[in-house]
Amino acid sequence: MFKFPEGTEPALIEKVQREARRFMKKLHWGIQGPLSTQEQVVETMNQLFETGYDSMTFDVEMVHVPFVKKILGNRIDIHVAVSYPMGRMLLQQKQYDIDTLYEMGVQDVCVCLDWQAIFSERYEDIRKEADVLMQDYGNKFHKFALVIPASLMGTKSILNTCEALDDAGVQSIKVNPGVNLHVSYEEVALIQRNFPDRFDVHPAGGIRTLAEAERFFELGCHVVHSIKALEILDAYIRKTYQRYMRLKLT
Amino acid sequence: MKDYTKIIYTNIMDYRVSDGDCKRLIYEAKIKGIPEIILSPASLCTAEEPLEVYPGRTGVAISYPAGACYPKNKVYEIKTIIERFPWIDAFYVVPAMGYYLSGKVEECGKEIKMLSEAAQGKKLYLMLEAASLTTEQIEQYYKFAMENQVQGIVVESGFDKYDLPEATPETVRKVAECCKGALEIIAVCKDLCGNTAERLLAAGATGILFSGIN
Repeated sequence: MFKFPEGTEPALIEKVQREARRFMKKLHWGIQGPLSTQEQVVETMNQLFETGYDSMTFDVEMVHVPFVKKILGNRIDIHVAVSYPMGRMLLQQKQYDIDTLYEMGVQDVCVCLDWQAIFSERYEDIRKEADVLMQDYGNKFHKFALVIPASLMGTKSILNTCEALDDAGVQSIKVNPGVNLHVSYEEVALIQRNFPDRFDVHPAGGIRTLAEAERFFELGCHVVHSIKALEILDAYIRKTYQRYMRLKLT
Repeated sequence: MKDYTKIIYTNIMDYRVSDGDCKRLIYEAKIKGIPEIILSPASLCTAEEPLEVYPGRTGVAISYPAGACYPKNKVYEIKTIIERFPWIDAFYVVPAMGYYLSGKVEECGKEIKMLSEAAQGKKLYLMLEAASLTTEQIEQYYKFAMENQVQGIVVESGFDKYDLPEATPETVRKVAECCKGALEIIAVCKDLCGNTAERLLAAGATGILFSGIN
């Protein structure tokens, strides 16, 4: 993590750190996957703790939630994905899994919509699924996002799906699950342009640099998923420090 | 590949799957004489009609592809599917391998027992990521399988987006040696052209899981 040069004014350090804390609260961090172990989860948590900054959420698989919860308490929200990444579980199963997570004290959840319905252009079914999920869980979590595979969809399909989600009262849309599907600026811009100030859009997949994260923030996103979150934070601190130093010189 | 009797068609590994793709997969399986297909749970909802004319077995993937949830969630998924689709023939379940690799061996044994009970006598298969497991770990899952009437082991999920090591013929051979002929061993083949499927069968696979969506 970026080290402030010796002699840097404490007030400036405090200022940069304050901004970095705010910035980091927009980023997800964690470890997921079928073979992720408790040891790896602890290691990943320690990497975060070593930075001195808390992320918006810590993302894990359901099986690891209890021990992560013990360590984190309410310091950082825990994020778990449901029916990930293709959403092809039955709705009843998604509800059961979300109920389980709620009982465990998970505060942040994303649920993959039925991608088969999306690729079959069954928009009424998409609306119905989203409607059930929003009615049951829309207000239960700090964040409750529904995931669409925007990178595999055309413009018309994205817009029709968003319209269905709009009808269902969805607030947060995660654009791509990650897992080798990379979000583009165009997908996010398309949603923001056609549904201005309507959705809380969470881009995910392939966001690897500060410049990319900032571009998504400029597009109106408030949350970014990135496996490079700590590198992005480091770059942000460096950039913010340099910005203030330049201001000072002028 | 000329012999389709060892092929299992599936849609579970693919991101982009539509109702039309599923329908085509089922009809193609019927025409080619493919003996089994495995579908995602949500695919069953729209596949009931085309499945009426399919004479082979139909399996469903449970907790696919991560398997990183509690046994009770998987049990619920199996029970729900039996209630809604009582004609289902087999369950292909991804066990919580990350939990197992965290040292929770006893808990993972209980998981398999719970899955076996939930399956109510229908065929149960475990989908492992065998290329990421040691021989001892595979043997442990073999033991769990034998204690709980598991029918067979699929050597990998085939979900390549996780960037896990793919099972090779050598992996299949390792699993086959651990299972000593007591279980079915299903390998995943991404391409039926060439001789990959034959090599997997020669290494000890009894069936080949193949994406019928391509």
